[in-house]
Amino acid sequence: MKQKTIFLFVLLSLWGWALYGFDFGVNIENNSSYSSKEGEGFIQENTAHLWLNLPMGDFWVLNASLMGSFSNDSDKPTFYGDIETFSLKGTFPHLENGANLFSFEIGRFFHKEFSGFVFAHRMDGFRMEFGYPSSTLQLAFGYTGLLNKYYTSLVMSKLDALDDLDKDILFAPKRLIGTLSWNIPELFARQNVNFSILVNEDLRHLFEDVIKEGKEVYDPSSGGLVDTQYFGIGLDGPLTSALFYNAFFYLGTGRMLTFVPDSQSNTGEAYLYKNILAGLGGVSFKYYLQEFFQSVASVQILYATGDSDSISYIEGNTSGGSSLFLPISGQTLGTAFQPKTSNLLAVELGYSLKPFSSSKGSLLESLQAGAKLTPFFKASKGAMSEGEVDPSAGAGYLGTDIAVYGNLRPFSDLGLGVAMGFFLPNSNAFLPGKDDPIVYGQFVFSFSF
Amino acid sequence: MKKILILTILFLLASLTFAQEQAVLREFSGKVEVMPPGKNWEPAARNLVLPAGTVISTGFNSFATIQAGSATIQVKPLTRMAVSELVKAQGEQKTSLDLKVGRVRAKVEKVEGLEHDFTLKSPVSTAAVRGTEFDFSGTGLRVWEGIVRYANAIGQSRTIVRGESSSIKGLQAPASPEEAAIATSKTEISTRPAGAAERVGGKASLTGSVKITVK
Amino acid sequence: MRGRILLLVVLVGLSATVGFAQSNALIDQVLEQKKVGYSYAAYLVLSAAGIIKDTATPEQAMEVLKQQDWGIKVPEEPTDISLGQYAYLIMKAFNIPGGLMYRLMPGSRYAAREIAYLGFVTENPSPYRSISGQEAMQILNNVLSWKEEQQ
Repeated sequence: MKQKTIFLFVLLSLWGWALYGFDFGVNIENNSSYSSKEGEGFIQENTAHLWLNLPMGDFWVLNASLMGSFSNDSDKPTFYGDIETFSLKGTFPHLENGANLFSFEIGRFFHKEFSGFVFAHRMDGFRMEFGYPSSTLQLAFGYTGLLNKYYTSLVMSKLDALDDLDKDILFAPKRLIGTLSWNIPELFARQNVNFSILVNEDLRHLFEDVIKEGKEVYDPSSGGLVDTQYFGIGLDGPLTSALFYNAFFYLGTGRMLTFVPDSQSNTGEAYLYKNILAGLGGVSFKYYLQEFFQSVASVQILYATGDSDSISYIEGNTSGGSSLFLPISGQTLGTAFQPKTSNLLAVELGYSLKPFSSSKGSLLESLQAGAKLTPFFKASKGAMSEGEVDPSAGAGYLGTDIAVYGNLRPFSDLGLGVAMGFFLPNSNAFLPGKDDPIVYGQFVFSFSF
Repeated sequence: MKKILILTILFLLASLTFAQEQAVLREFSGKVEVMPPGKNWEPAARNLVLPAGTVISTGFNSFATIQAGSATIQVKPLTRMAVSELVKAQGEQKTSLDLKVGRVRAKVEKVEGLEHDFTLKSPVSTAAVRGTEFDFSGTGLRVWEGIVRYANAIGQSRTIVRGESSSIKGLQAPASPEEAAIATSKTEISTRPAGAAERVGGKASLTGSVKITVK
Repeated sequence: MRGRILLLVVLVGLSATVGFAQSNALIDQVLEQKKVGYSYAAYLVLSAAGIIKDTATPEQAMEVLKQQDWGIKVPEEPTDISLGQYAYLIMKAFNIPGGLMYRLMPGSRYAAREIAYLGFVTENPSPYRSISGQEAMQILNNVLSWKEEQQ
């Protein structure tokens, strides 16, 4: 009896301690879209997030979030869910001589590298950050194989693509991600410098059979591993108090399984791992004219190398090494047409303003209206992520994506967004019969309580 | 006698080269009180000299303007600020103010031949000033003129120039001017509470200081 | 006669001084509190909103609060105030309209969400946690600053 009382007392004390400053809530989001692209049509996805934030003492906090979705997308189950985040984070400041800040996080969390174009995704692992007055160093390791695949975008290999289509497979591709980044704010003339190294190791072979190097018979129903590494440098900062720029470059290396001519093979061909050597670069300028309805004018240029020998985006290399840049999972440009940053040159021109920003207290005060114009080009002959693009077409104009959008936050707990996009393709760059213009519309609704 | 005279002259010379600078309460409106070192609260008075160690407090809807050498500090309502240090040497002035709570607008004029080390202390942030005018509340900064060096308790800093603003949340590094511009020009649709999935841990206490240096 | 007038002037002057000193002594007490008391928080908010004079006492502030038709269950015993309760006082005193949920279900939870959204709170915006006197003052300062910008 005494032991039970003590146990109950300890449990309640811990619970009381843990409940200090806790917070929780629900967020509901609806994403309805229509695309005239073949195989898409009208898709509606409703997602509910249940989140919890639990500070535990002065230094630790537990963040947890569950999500469940209801969708009419035929490529997904009607209902699916996942643990969105579940992490314990500790922050330890040292404010005496040699001030610094150490933070450690373990669990499931969202992680991205400085550009957002190579990796921006959730993963299960740990993350450490060392903050010093002059710079910040961050180290993170994570595994993606326990994520629900319907919330992921990690398709890099043929087996990844096959699993993505298989409704019996629930989990995302098994990849080990490691990142090391170093951020130096205002290194010179108010310019910030970023260095980043990412490693992406395909662990599929530990769990199942994959095509081994040397196999001499082509197998369209299987594939190999795709391992990649990225070495990046970025520079950003103000040019004036209203004009900002951001420039970055990533060198991508790795290996990819390729069915190529092989003089040592009995059939004259065999599966061989070929090296990847590719690049991704980008520069953007943004001009903030806050006096004129909080408007922003922007131009963004993105260039990712292609491979003239590739016949498809995934494991499509047919000769020698591959120079097709493969992002792990990152953001894309465009609205109706959204190719991955691979074998691509895109120039995005954008402008937005808040026409009612001076109407303080009005429901329309937060309305942001904007437009984007994005001409796309192929960087080289070869495949792109969009299968409708003709791999044999050389470098050149693909088409232009035009979009208009509006975002409104009439209340703190209600957000609304609408977007319309049109893609006008260059027929010469697309496969016959796949060169129809694309019309796209999207409505987003977000509500919290 | 001669020795006493020489000593007196030397003492006077020393005082001239290293004199206590004065802060003066030039103007005020509403309920403003001061607490000189070792004394209790007393009502403010125009042109009241504020020695080092004085605490100024403004009430609701009350303002005060303090002159400290080449610096003019407008103390806004509901503010508690202490004059920590006021020293003037040849070609150098050091002013140190401790903003316990509230907001101030500070204007530090550039004076030729004078290097003004202007220090504003706050529990969470630091700013370094070079001939400038800015609004400062401890967690937020807006620069109207000149350049301000703004840092958090760990010393991670950013340079904020005229027309730019920045803020500090907890132990995070100061927001870049572009982040501040994005916050006003972009409408975020997602209503998930900021950092619902990622919040800085706990409430680790901060004992850093704000340092503003005018050069 | 002159003596009596002089005495009256002195007494009035002294009482004004006392009033002055009272409000600052109160602020001193608030700043020292690691968990700000409900009555002190009510005093701060109601004074800042001009509903009571800053020469009032926290007890008087609580009495005035009881008379407001804000749907607040004013505690009888001295107690700490949570961030949510403080936020609700602010929302009511300054007539801040709030979000959709606050308009449908006015209360401390959605009041805390609103002041976090408006940027008045920079620390953990949990409505259930206590706040220090320093933080209470800083939040109020942010409210006053925001009010200035709205005008």
